[in-house]
Amino acid sequence: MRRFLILLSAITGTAVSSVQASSIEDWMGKVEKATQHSYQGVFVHERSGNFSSYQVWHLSKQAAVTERLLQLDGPPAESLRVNGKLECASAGFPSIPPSIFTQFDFDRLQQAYELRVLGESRVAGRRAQVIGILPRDRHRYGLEVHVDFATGVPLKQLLVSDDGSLLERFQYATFHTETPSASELQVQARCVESRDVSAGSLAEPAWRPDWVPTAFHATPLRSAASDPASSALISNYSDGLARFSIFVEAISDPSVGDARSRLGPTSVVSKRVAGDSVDYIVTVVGEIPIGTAERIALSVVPNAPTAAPEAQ
Amino acid sequence: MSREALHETLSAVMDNEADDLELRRALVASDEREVRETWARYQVARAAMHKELLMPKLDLASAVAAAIAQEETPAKVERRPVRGLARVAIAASVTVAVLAGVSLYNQDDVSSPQLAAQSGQPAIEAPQAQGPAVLAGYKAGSVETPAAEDADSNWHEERLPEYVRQHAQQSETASPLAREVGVDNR
Repeated sequence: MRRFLILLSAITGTAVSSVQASSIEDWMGKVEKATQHSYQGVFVHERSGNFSSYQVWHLSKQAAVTERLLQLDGPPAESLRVNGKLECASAGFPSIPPSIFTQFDFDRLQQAYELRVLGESRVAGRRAQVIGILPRDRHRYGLEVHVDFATGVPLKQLLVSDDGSLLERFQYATFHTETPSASELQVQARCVESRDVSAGSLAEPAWRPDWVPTAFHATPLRSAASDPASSALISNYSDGLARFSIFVEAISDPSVGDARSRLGPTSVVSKRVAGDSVDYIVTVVGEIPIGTAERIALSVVPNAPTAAPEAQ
Repeated sequence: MSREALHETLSAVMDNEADDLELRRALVASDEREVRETWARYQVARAAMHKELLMPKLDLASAVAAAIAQEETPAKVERRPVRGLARVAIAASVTVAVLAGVSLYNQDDVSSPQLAAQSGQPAIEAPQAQGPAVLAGYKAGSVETPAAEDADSNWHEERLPEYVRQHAQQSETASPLAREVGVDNR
């Protein structure tokens, strides 16, 4: 009897997985179209023990998508996005804003991750399909996405490291597809207009990493001209899900040394590099394992055009 | 236990990566003032990056220790189920203490560069007056300015939160976990 059960489960398991494997594209397509729905709800966001809750109102009307987020704990911070562009945000709004994760570049993702339908679950009282975005190497983290059956909106996302520990959680507690009213999408006076953050060009930076993990590509830098630290920002790389930034800054203080820390999914590694006349601090910040960040930081070299042929 | 090893252990405890033995060692050592100060400094650094810290002096280490001390000691017979339970219980205490701390941190919004300066000010009295178990170890004046020791930590404490913010801005308009996707075609 027992053997029969094992056999049965093996057969159904294979059958189910073959059915599911064919539908991962369908599910990703459904996720991509999720912003076309109107909905509202409350979600929690947690990273390395920090826990916040947010209310979201999402309105899709005549090809325009308006989304208001209100932080429910601590100071009442909020943000408003129209068609994905940040229109305004309160001063206290977190620098790492929890957003509604509905955009995936499917083809791009597949270079670095294996995408799989893992099963079904229930989130915020709703039926959900669980999609695994599993890294193909150890230089990035895995993501488990619970997608709402009815709308395709991701109701829950768990970012996990390769040892299975949870790095970041995003999860709806309540979710319904009622269309938000105009007053609910109205931001308060404390919401100030977003600074003009312009997308810069992909100009040749003065420094470059000699090594980055597979499938990571440089992306245009976005920086506000008034930002003093933006001059230290050298480049930003993404694999379609994870992202890291490289900073290089001249340093005169001889006591400043190396540093490494991890804040939930974000690794920060600083390395001191000796230069001709002055030393530099190379810092890598990103949602990648700390060992990977360290390796990238160690590989950063000055981008001297004349020296390049000899170096390669 | 060497100082360096202890610092590593503290770091592991902060990252939730310490095993039971390490956690115990850290707790045993947590009576030492220097260890507690190191722990406080790590908390400040971490919290600063999250822009959430209000009271750098809140001593979480002793709060955790106090919470654990109040727990019933499991029976000495080393039966496995009991050990398992104890482990869960310790983890729960740590969570409770940390959550208690975080809820205090979140009362207001203070930008990170202010943090170092703030540590010289007297901390507010309220948590002490309430006196719940998890805050039993909270001391207003015993932990000294964490950042003033060497220039090393100063630079990192000032710059790294700014770097993290800049990094976050790179994906600001896209969602944090779908960072590559452009803003305009959303």
